[in-house]
Amino acid sequence: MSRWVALLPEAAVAVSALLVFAALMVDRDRTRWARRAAFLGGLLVLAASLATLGRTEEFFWATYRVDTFSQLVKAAVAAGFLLGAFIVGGGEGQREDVRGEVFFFLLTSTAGLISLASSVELVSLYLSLEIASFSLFVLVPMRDRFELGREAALKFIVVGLAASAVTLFGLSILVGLTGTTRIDQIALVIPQMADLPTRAAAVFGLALFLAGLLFKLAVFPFHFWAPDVYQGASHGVAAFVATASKMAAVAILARLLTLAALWGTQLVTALALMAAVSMTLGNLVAIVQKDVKRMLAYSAVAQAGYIVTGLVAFTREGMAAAIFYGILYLLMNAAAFLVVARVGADGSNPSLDDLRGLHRRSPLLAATLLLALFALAGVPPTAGFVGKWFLFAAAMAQGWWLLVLLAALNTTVSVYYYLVAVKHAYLLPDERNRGPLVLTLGDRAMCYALSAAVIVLGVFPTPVYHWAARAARLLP
Amino acid sequence: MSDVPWLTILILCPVIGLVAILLTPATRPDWIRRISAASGLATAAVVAVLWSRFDPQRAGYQFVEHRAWIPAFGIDWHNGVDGLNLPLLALTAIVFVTGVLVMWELKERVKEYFAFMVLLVVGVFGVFMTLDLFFFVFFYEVAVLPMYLLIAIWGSTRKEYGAMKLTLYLLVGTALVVPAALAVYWGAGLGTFDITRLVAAHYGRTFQLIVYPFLFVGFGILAGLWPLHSWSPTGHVAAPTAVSMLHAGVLMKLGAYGILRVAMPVLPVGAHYWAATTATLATVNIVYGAFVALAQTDLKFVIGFSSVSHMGIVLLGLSTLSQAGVNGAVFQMFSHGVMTALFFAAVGYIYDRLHTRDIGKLGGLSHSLPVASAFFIIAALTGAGVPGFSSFWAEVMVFLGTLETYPVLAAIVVVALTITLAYSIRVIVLAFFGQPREAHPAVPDIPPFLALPRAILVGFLLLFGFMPHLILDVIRPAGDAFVRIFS
Repeated sequence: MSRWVALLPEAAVAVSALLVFAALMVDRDRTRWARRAAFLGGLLVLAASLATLGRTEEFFWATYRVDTFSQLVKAAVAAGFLLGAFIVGGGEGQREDVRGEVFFFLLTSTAGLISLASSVELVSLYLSLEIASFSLFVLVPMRDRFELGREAALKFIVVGLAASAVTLFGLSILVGLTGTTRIDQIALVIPQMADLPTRAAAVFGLALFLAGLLFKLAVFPFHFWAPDVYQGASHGVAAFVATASKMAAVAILARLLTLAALWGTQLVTALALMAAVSMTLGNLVAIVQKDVKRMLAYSAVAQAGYIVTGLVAFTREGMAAAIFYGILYLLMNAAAFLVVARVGADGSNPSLDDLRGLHRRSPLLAATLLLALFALAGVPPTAGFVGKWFLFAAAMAQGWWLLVLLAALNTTVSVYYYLVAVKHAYLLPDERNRGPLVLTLGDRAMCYALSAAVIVLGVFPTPVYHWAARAARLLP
Repeated sequence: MSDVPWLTILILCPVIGLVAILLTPATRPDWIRRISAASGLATAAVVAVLWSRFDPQRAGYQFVEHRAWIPAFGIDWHNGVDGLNLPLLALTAIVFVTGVLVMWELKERVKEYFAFMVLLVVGVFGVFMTLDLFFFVFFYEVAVLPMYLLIAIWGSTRKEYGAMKLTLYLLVGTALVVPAALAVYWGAGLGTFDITRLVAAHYGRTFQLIVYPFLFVGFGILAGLWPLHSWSPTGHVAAPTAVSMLHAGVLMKLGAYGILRVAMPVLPVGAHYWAATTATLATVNIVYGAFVALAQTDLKFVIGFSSVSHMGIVLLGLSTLSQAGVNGAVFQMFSHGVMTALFFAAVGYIYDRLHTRDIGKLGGLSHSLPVASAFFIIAALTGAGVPGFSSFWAEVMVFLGTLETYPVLAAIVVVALTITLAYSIRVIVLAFFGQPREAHPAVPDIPPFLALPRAILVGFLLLFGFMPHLILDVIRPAGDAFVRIFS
């Protein structure tokens, strides 16, 4: 019986969703109650994930696996949920009638991401992916008074469903050729296929299946939704997409890619090309953005390219570096979105000009933004530097020097637009002479906590990297 | 030897200073200044301890600290001092202390200014003491990025343009250095970033020939290597006084030091193969910088291009791969650092009071501001290589080293040195003697408190000008050992 303890995070997320649902039935202050329930639930999930860290169990005919890898990802996803829910705050920028519901759908999406982390079988993997995505499809149009929100939602759904269709098609090919849906068995069957066309077809099937995950990670050419969704969704929802959802996608991609290493270089080369185009395109387009969230979206496309750079190394180091970077990325993006949400406190999207004079209006927010952007740019002593160093070192160790050189040059390009944002916050005067931005105690504490985390992890990465490395060792 | 971790203590001085500054409310600028000065003096004290306990005759590194930091990637907290970096640590402490004193009158956003400046100093100390390639790049970038804000916020004359240009140039440099550093890690195959072990590793000839230019150019950009130097005068002109001091005085040395500590010893075959090319580029630096300085009308541009020219001497000295050249280059790094800091400090005072640096509008300053003018003139004479100041010895040594290896380049350098003399005298005569070309408000001469940091810098120039053995005894054993790698 005790082995079921390993499913505590799943139980916690289910209970939390029910709690939030119950809170939504309250007549008065339903948003506030839903928010409290969501925080409580998020903390429960986080605690349950951390408490079960280190356990190894298999469930449901070995389709669902609990191990260090999955629990680490679950903890990160729970942290991402908490940060997203924190940024949602009182629900400013959401439609008035659904402010409480936001928390519910964020939790259901979290539930999908959590089961994604443990899925070692293609159908459950697909289902988890869809649970996570459909919740987001609902969340994006909940934005208030923002025409682009609806457009973004539509794009997100159409592109998302197309990606799902492709994924399913890939799944059907894989299942048809191998007769199994379990990842570990596929890995055994395919190398034994004598017939070359059959093997090629299987690789093709896997490539299609990967498309679904690359879509979540917003890697070129599956990135088209990202700028619209970041811009169109409310701050909190966009933060969740950028953090928890990204983290889970990185992790599960790492798990699936261990398969790809087994067969042939074409797939690997294709991934490397996607990484190269992703970072170059993302960074170049980010330069011309005026909307901060849109800029962050393109920067996310570029960051996905960096992460894939680490993944194409196909070594334990590369996988560990990618997981580690996923965790760091979650923190630095959360910090950036927190600033975006508080500068655009009325729910509107801040433009670069809205950042003007931020250092006077709120020195703390300005400093947090500075650290977050420097971290995204990979400037020491922030965590972005060490994270990128690990990714690039892993790729270089496998001889991907051209990709690393390109990534390093891209980093320089990215510094330009991050610095432009910093310039607006620190240098340019605020022509509208807006008053100081007053932060709540919670906001201040969160700013300090995220800033500290970004620096401490940059200087002392070993403890967290140690867990990432342990998780990577467990991959099939 | 005692086991006191002096180098960790040294870098903790500015780190603690930074934390203290961040914790001090912005409404107490007087405290922020005092904290900065205290952390500067603390670093100076630690460097003094290092200098007094340093044994030049012992081979290898001293005050070594070594402990694992990120074992998975072979990254260690590994620091050490030898004759090549001890003078540079001293230089950093000197420029840090004097830089804080020079900016004592700063009124605008004091807390942020000193926070960024101290952060920059943390990076500089880190680069000069570390023996781990990861931390080398880590601190290198820590030193580069605060520069953007320091120039863009507190600078003058096209400051945003200058700041962005400088930052992007330097980051292109790191974009070349990072892949090259990772390639060295990969090529050595030892799974370590420890420079002392990377130096001992074996690399193929082709590998060395390909990777060396990446490191040389990547670091060289920060050292003002022609033709990638143009960020430097623009940036120096735009920067506020102490930032110019730190930048030209210390930061440009990071680039040269990267070549000295990483590029050359790790890839000696590459260094040997490319030496003639790099020596030629360095000579272009010297000649080009001097000629352009001759035509400038802004005092800071004169200094900016003179820095390009003088850093060429450092790069040339290193490229000779000869004992005299390398020792001279290290000496020149130190002495140019002090000299440029004095240059910018002197101009800073004049600009603060007269609000112009245009040679065409100045003139006769030695009558109205005799002391302030004296500081500038001393710096200019040092730059021109007048005996009695430390640069003279450094330049002579580099010249002798060049004469041994590249006699033709040595002949060109002699011509360039006369041009250096020409632009120095031109500036001195036009700006400081004769009659003022435009009426200036009557301003007081430099007060004793502000004269103090400048006087300290002059003191060091004279000290090592008359007693060069004080510093050469420290440099020479390490420099001679360094050159043996290439024979």
